[in-house]
Amino acid sequence: MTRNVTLRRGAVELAGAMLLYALVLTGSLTLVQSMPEGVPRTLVAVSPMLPCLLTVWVMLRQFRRLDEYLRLKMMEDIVVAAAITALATFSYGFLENMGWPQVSMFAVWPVMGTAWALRSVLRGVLEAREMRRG
Amino acid sequence: MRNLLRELRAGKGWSQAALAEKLGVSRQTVNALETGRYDPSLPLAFSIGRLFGRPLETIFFDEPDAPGGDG
Repeated sequence: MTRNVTLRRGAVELAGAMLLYALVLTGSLTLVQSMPEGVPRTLVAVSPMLPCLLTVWVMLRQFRRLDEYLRLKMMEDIVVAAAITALATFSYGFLENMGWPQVSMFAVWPVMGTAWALRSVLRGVLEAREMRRG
Repeated sequence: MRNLLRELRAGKGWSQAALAEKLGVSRQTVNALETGRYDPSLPLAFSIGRLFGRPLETIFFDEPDAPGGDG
């Protein structure tokens, strides 16, 4: 199997895992509203994390399919994104101590995801410029 | 580290994409190797050596120490 076919299969696996997450999330949000307080309701509320675990496994598989240079570059992207997230969330944490509005923990991943995406796009643009040069 | 990858590839008449396919890596990786932005791992270096039928030391060269460097 060629490298591109393998990478494409990984993208299909990732799309499948994300679709499953969307389905479980929708079901969970609907079901939780009609359930009484208790452990079963809590379990239903956190059930979208199961397809998230599947997504993590699919992403790790995809990461291992990358060649050594792309893997190194992606690791650098993640390190930069983690650093930006740490700086942003800690800064806001100190501002919360000063009375700024409390922000949900749900905000952390979008911050990191956005930083990761921006860094990847920036690197991709610079890389494309290098490749045009030859 | 300097290398002769670009010259060797040109000698065979291969594109970067063709070399990448033969080595089982991405075109970005071949470009990064040729432009000296990335030094390959030993397994990849040996694959390159095998592909061109040359010992590694005739493909990859240590950069000479810069004058006045730490030494």
